Amino acid sequence: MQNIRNFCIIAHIDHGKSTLADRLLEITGTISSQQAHGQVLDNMDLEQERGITIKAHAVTMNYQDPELGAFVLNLIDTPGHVDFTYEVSRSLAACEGALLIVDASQGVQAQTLSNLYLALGHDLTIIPVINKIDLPSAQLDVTIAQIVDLLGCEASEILAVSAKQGLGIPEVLSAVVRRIPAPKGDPTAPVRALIFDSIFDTYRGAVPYIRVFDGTLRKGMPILFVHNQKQYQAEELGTMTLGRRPKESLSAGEVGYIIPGCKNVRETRVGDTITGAREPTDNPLPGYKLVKPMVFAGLYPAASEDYTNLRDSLEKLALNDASFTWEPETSMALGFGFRCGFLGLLHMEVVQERLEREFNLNLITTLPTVEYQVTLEDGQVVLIESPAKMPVLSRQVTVEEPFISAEIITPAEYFGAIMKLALDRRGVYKSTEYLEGNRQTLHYDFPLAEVIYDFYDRLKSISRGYASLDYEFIGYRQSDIIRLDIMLNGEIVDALSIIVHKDKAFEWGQRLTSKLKELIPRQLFDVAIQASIGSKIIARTNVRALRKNVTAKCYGGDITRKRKLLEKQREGKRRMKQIGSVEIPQEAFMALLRVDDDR
Amino acid sequence: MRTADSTIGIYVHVPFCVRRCPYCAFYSLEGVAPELLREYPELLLRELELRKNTWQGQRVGSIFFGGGTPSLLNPLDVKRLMQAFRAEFQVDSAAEITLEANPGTVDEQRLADLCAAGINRLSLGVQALNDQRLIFLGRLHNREQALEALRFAKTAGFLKVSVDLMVGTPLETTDTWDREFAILLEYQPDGISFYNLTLEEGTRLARRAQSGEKVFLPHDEAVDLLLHFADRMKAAGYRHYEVSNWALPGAESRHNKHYWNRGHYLGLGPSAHSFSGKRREWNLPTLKLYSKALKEGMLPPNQSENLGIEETRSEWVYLNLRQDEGLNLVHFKKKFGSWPQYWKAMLESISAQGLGSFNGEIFSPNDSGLLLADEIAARLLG
Repeated sequence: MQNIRNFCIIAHIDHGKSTLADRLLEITGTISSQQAHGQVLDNMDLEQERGITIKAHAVTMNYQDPELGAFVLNLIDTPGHVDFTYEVSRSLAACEGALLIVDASQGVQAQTLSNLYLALGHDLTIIPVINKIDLPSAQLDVTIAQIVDLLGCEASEILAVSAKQGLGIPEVLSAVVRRIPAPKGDPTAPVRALIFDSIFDTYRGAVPYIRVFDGTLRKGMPILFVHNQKQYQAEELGTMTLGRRPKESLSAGEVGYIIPGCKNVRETRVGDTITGAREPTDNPLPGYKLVKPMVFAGLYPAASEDYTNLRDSLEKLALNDASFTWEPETSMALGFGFRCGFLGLLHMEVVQERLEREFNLNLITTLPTVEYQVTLEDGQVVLIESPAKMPVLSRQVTVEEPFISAEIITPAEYFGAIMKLALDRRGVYKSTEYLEGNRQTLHYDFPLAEVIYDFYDRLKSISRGYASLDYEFIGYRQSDIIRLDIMLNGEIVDALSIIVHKDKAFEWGQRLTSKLKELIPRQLFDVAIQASIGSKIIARTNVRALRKNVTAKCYGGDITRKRKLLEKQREGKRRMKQIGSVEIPQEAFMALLRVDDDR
Repeated sequence: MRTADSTIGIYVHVPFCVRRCPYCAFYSLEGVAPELLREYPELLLRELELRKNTWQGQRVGSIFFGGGTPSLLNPLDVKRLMQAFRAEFQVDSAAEITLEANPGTVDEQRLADLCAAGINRLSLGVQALNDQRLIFLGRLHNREQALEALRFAKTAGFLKVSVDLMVGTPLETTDTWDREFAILLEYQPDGISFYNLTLEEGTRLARRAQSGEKVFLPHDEAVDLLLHFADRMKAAGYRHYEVSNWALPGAESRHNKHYWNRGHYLGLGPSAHSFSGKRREWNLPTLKLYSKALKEGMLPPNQSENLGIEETRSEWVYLNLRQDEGLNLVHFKKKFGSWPQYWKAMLESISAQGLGSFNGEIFSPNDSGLLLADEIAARLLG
């Protein structure tokens, strides 16, 4: 155990986390330099494209220190978005130390801070590393001063590297083995292993990635998932290099995988403790939370014949993603589809993009909503996560909406702008804490519905990226919530209904109708767009009928060209959804999500 | 059944202009080099020589000299070309022989000579009877010259004289047009074409629009204007036989109707298209490439497409929707088998929108419907 080091890398986006990880893998011979070109840890296309790590991964490296001898280094990657805060916290819990990467030209940024606070919350030893020192714009002195100020460390403790050029990498490894403490634990005690990630293997089922804290897991032994209370057998276990490397056992301090032979990642929840079934621990590892979807939206195939394909794809996706839920739903406007639950909006976009890309589906997504607790007139309490199911409200019906407690860390200069944003989003101010370096922590309670749309993006934009957000669900509170319907030529389009706070209904009505006016192309007749609450119209506009769509000249040489133009027009028509007599472009449903951009 | 007659049409492209019009995307060379103009008829005759085997002996119902500016051709060359066509094909005695003329390039003598060379229909590019707009459109002529050309054309002996007008610049109102219109109708043209100004890629007008200049009437104003014309034309006894074309009954352009009814045609000259029912081909676009090949004794290499049933159907539908006679479902059925179920309801609803009439068999678009021909075609073809 003395020669094991478990650590992660934390950084602001684009500060070079993945590149440094690749260099470490390369220098320890875990991968060849040819393999290193593609940033090995982020192995989903989508992660590479978006530059964010969505799922955590882990790799075991062998390292020979010139003075101290052989070490086993476990590098655990962490996802980097507020939707996945819980996953990040479990990955950090599996480590004793963290490399904090700071870009030499950009200095300390918002995510540097938020990730650092998370890491300090887990008592991790922090090794500060300044990356990209080869850049002409590198400001080494400034960045060193920032880090000294932030961590209260000595300037001499900060490493300077260029992951891209491969400069300073041996020093990083040397610091990892010298500064990060060896894991502690009792290999003979009852087994306690933390699941910090869980992937799905088509042939082997769920494969939890684990950190063993106590005891020894052996191949073939019966195991128990403490929170899930399911018993399995350790069919295979081992460590991860580029692939899986089976071993006979994993002991206290080690990081690796286990194959319990269960078919679904839902049974191998991140944060759960694995213990021996014969000699179970009575002291599971702390911090387990059952992550539940917070945001719901309808997913519909653009072409109804894709329904079965969508269902099969959702089934496959759910195998790999325990926090994603789905059930069939029907819309008058969009036909057969599914109501899906997500951790947040980014998670929703990721799922949607994976479905479109990996399963080749063309989807329509409805406006996302949170889950409301509605007490009906007869006293029955129901959970409602779809506008279509929201009853017409009367005095006898009460609605409660989910609230979160948010912690926003920001440099003082953005305080005013953030207060204004919070007010606009029905935030309830709680308190302010003053931190070193002229920074503040603002505590607010928010209705979750106000945070899911684009709160995070707006927070980032008004604070030039510096403010960070962390939040947790705190419970339901009664609110004046109503259903707002959209009508096209007098017919309610159920897929466009939203649930909003009464005070915001008028504003939303105006915004949705004017956005739809932009999005709906002129048709052969006038299209009336109205927003209504019950039978009361609160906003209206219309799209005037198209009166001319024809090319003026069509002679011998034009006929082919015109036919091709017509084919293009037809292609455009195929991307329209016919709702009643009105054609709506598919993009309109998603574009409505972005109504806030226009403010 | 209203389909193409068995004759063919011949199109002769004349790719020369004194000055290019800023809205025009047809292939044409600016500035007229006399030697090129002299040599060009030879090239056309050579192309005809090389192509005639495929088309020899066909009956010709119409010939069209288009451009460019065909009125730049020497009338003697027109005569030679006509003689060659008569020698190789059976040109109907009643064939319609059209030449497009730019009012800035013709005088009384030239028009009389063209008539004597065999041209029996003159299509005159008047564009506007308003000097400010003629300047905006970059034309060579002014209002007086246009009217003079029209007078000469009427007395030169052509069987038919038709006039092209350009509609949709930001300088127009129904009032300004009404005044021009009253004058134009005094000349009793056999046909009038109203071309709604459109932005063609790569033209000077397109660049002007990109740099922010307002070059169009807004959608609704242009439509109002076009519908205003429709009323005026109908009152004057003209028939709206195609989207942009009006004629006194019986004076419709035979050559153009031949295109729209998918008749076969032979195109000569750079960028000219030919169509033989299943195949459409087009010559290389520049005079340089075209003449190089011909001088080496080869047909200029061309591009072509073979039309499958899908393409044929699309063309048939959209071309019929551009004509007042409209879409005849019985004819469609004979040609392509049954029509899609949803057509009937769709055509009924389109008629109910006031865009035409549908009797269960034939959909005939009215003036408003013709302005939406592409939209209706895209809907029907789904």
